[in-house]
Amino acid sequence: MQKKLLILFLFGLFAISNVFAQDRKITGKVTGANDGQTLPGVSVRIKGSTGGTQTDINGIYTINIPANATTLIFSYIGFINSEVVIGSKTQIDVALTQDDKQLTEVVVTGYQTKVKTSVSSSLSVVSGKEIADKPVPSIDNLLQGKAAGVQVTTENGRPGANAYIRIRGTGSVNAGQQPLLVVDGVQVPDDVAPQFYTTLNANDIKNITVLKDAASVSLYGARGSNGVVLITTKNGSESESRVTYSFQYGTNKKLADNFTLMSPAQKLKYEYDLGYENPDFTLYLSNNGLGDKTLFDITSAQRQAGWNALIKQSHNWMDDILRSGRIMQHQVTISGHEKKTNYYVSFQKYDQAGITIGSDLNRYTGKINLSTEVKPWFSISNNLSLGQRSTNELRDIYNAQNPFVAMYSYNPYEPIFNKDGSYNITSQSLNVIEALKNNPENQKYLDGYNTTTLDLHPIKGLNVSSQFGMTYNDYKRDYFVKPGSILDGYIADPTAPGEKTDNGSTEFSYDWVNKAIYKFSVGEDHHFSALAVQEFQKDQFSSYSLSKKGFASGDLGTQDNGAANDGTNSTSKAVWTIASLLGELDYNYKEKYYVTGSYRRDGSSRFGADNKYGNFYSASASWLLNQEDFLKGISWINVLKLRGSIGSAGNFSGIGNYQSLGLFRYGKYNNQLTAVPSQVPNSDLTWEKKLKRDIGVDFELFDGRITGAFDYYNENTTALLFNVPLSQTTGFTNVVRNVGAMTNKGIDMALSVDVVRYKGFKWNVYGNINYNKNNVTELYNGSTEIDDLNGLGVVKPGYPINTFKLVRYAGVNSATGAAQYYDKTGKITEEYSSDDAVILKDKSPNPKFFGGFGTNLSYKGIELSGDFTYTLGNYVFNYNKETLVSWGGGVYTAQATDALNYWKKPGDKNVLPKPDANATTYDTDLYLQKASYIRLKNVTLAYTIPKNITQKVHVQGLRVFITGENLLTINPNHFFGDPEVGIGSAESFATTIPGQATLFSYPNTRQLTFGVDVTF
Amino acid sequence: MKKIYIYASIALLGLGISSCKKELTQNPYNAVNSEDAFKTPDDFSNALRGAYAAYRSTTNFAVYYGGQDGGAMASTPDILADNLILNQQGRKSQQTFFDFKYQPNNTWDLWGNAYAVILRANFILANIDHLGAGDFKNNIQGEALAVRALAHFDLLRTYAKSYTSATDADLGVPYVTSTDPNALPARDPDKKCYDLVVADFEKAATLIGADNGVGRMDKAAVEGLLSRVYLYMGQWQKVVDAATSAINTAPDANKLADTVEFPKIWLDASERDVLFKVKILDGDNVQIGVGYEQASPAGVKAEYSPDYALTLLYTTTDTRKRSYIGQTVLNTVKYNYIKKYFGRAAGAANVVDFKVIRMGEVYLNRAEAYYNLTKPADALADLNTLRANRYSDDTPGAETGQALYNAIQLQRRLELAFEGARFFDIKRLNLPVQRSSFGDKADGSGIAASVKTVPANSKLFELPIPLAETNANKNIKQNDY
Repeated sequence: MQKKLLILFLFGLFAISNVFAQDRKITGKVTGANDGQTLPGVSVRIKGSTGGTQTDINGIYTINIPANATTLIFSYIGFINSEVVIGSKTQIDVALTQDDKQLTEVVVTGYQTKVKTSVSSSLSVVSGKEIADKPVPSIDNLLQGKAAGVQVTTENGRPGANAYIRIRGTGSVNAGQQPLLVVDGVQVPDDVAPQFYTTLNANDIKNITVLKDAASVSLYGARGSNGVVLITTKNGSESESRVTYSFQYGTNKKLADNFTLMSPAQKLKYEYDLGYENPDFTLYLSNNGLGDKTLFDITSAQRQAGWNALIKQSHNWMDDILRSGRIMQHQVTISGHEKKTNYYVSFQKYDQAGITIGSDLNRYTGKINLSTEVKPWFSISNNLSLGQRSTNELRDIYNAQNPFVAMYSYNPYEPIFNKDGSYNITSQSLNVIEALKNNPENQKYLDGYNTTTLDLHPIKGLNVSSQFGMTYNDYKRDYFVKPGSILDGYIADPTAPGEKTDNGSTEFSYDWVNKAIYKFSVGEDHHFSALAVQEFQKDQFSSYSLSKKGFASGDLGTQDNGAANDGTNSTSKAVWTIASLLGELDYNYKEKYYVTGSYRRDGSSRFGADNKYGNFYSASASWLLNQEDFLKGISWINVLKLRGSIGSAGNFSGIGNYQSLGLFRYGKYNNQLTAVPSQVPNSDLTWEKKLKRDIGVDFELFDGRITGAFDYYNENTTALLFNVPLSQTTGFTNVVRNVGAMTNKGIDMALSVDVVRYKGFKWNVYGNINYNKNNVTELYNGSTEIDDLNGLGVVKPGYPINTFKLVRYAGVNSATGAAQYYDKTGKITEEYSSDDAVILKDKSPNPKFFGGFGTNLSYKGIELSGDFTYTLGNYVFNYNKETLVSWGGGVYTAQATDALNYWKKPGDKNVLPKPDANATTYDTDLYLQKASYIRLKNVTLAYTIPKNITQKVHVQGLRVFITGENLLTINPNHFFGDPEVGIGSAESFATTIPGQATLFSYPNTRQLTFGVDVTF
Repeated sequence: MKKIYIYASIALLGLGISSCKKELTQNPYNAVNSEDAFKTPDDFSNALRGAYAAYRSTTNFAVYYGGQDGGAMASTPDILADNLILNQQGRKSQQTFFDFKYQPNNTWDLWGNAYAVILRANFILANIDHLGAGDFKNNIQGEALAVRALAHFDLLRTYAKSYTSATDADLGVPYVTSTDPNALPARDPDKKCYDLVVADFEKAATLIGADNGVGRMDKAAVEGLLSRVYLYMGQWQKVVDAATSAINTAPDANKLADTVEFPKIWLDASERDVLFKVKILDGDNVQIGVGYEQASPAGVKAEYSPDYALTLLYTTTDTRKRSYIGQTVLNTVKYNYIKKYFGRAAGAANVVDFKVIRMGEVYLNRAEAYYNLTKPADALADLNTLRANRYSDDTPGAETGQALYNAIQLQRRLELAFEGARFFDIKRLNLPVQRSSFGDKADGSGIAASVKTVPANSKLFELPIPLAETNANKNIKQNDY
């Protein structure tokens, strides 16, 4: 596995060798001793000098050596260095021996790096190579399908959309559910993490480690229970100096629908059948001397003539609203090392035009990572990253201000413009094409972090360091309802037209980590490593909101142009702190039996006065079976490790900053000050607690051709934060308390197989799967069930979180065409009552299985990879279908052809109820659909042009590639629309439950991009 | 050398730990601890305005005097009666009320909103002795008592039986006087609650000042509200006493409006007639008019139109007709809409103050009481006073007997239409809701109400208590749902 990753990583990256005084040339080939495969990217150096080169893709190197050179050193990560005396040879072929102990492969874990085989915890590593060069600006989305047990659901298709990351199921009801993000050792505040995922440049990332079990996350104490994502960025140590320029260009468009809207003729007939005369027809009548008539009392010839007139003026709103998106990216990277200094510098410009006007993302990112060894026992490093992102945003709401509602709901016969050239406000009372131009929303984010680390290693085995990390997030939003725009006519003050809002926030946080690591051995067989950490983090947030009305023109949008305050100007501030002590002890006997224990104590300003401090612990053990004598003889087992862990972690993200206090807040009445009781005190308030247990096995077989891991986990969350309802007679509605419990149990599996490794040809397939079972076990005293705020599901002991609770649809009464429902007791009734909603066992937005699989092929510079992701067994309430396939209530707007399949005569079965323009299409399980899908998320075909050709034009490496995103979707349950459902609707749901429902959010897109990487 | 660095790093570590501890206590920048909220006289003024603000809206509720779609004193009691018809062009907000289909999980949460008002008043009353004796204290205490009484009264007329139909065993609502966030009170008897409302109002009337300015109650407002409470209780002489006191003590600025002043009331350009109103300003994020209509470039989209039969009761010389009812053309169809909450002459659309008690009502309360005290001459005098100030061509009427009574009730309906009185007036008189068969269009055509009658004293007159309350508080007995 590790070797494969390295090969991929170094593939096509060829460094320049320093040219110096030379006498002769030596060439040769470097292979792996065990399998004879050529090794690209092996460092070839002259002993006692800084000069050197690397092997190319075929393992061939050429080096010019001065006369005084005596020895060549061949080094490659994961292999034992080889020194060869030059003598008089001109060709030196070397077979490198794999470092048998596998002890060189390290992984980033909490607060330190550890040798992979020594780790007794469950974690997944995603290499930078796997997420580089993807035309998706947010890193969280790139993790989809890459790591076992990590469910990544993209919010929607918006440029820069974030993703929901759930590690081993949903771990909380009301508190945060996202994992903690740690970038280069700096803990990122939870509310800033989404911005970091979108502003960091994926190409700067060396690897991402996802910590899943207690042994790894309890090091992060009160912030660790949802898992931890550790991002490590690149440094210059792996390569000689080199400059790489990358360019990408691509287009994208909305994924095609799997349903069709009614044609104008179908729609007009449907309206007629339902007894609805649309305003355009009314207008037609009055323009044609039939003003005193209606659709229903004219002759059929007159009617047809009117329809023909409307059909003639019809057009496809989708074509008018949408456009082809565009993606363009430029990147320059310079990295390398000079003596004892490593550097990595990058700059990227990323631009994406969305699939409709008013939707864009433009981003600049820059990075400098520097490290230097000042003295053999003292080094210093600094990582700095800064990104600025500007986006134009659309309304994600369920009305015609949202172009993705409008494109489905405007009737085709409604023109964009009136005869006089003004915008037609249509039957939806708003023209989205006008709104996209005249109600613009822009957001700007400036995000960055800097971390400075002093590293001392005064005596052998001891490492003392102090790291000061800072994160910064600045957010600015402009929203302008321009004077004279249609929307202005609804919401504005007629005497002060136009309304402009500027709001934003700044969040600065620092994270100071002092730590000591001491490694020592007692005798030959007892090995110890001790970690001690003291950490303090402080977060300072401030925000503002300004709003004015009365603007002279749509071009003058700053607040100083406004005539009058809207009365909503405000600023706010908040601070939270967390102070921690942490200790971890690793012990192993003969590098065979490993035991680790950790303890962390956190205190936070967010916790109540009576619960200020929390303690977290973990214990884990592993047994490296392949080190045992009885397995040493079996040559095809490279690694076989059994491991287990238990421990606790907390989740403090759901607690408000001052939630434990009894408070009076200030406001206004008649523009004078008010003071009002705003919060019930709870001095016991504390973090949610999670007990995590995990057993697993890691293996590498047949010289690493087959690698994998298997885990069974059982996680128990207690002290869940709930808004416990109070009697409203107290004047309060609720208080946040720690009550309730739930469990997540499941299995993670990951497997990677090199099916073919033959000469230059390599074919790998990989896959991962997670099965998770969520079960709510306890709610607050006396409460048996809590309805979610969207009115679709419940949190109820004995059921998975957010299990759907809906009225069951019982088909039509085939005699009358009336809609029928099952009441609570299962009897059929024609009376809809929301009281008849019942819990639909086994139907929830939680998937039964999810994961990813894919393949990589490479042959002589050609690489082909395909990555699939899948989600199986989850249910989604399909409001899109309910809207477009209505029971007649949707006659005023465009409808899908499926709506025509309704009851027409006695005896009709399996049809929609007899439609009625005044009927409500009720929320029933008729619109609850299974949303399993398998999606070909990414296909990349790349070709690295042979070095001997490119070198002629002084180019060390040239790689061209094309990438396709979302090229294929398998939708086995015929989900109406796109089965990959994330946010549903950002503005129209009372609460966001990922994957619960569709409601015309930004559609996912299909992208095709072309790219080229040139290395000098 | 190396050792120095080791010591230095250990020292650094120690420094870090000690400096962190005091950082673990943080206080908000936008709030004070409850214990520190009542220290100065200004704290009490702030808290009192906070109580009034809850009539308008709170963080959790805006369904009381500042309500829109979820239930509102401006519209719901008219929707629950015969004054309005659901407009098919609107958003069909509050249709549950219009169709009388409310259930505990889908009811008017005036409950939570009113008790938020009550809590704020109770905090003031619990801390009132932090103030030194004197007029300031008396006025604050009087206002807080009146605020508390009015909220309880609104709860009673919404969720409990009418006073005149209730037995001693029938339940009212919990009459809350504590600030305990964990209390789980049971419902007090209906009649006892009315007595407590009266007691708080009567005490308030002795303490409160004569003029507290716009947006706050004063002596005349309290007396005016008392006349309403006594009217609901059928205690006629007390109605007369309170109404007379209100009329006599009202500041000049709040005397009965004439036909010239009357239209200005609804633009908040005049304080005539208004004894107490809840102030709602542009920046308060409360658009009470949206519950009735929204202007659009295509025309005014009405949520509810005035019932056609009601519009016929307003004569063309009635100043109220022009102030209350507008007409629009939407998609080529003419509709009437409620204009009362359309907005001020300048400022945000649909933002106006909510008038809680007006002098017009006080005269009508007294007229009805005089009638019931068999003093028809006094009743007619009050009725004529009102009519003279409402009709541009008024000639004094001379009704007697039933005709006089009917004229009082007609004027009451016309005067208080779309102000949250109609449902409660029908209820207190133990009458049925009887709707017309007219539709939603301006000419009476269109789609009519599906529910045309609600029998007198139907269970539908006592709205369901919100499910959230009965779930959280097992001591609350639900109404008959």
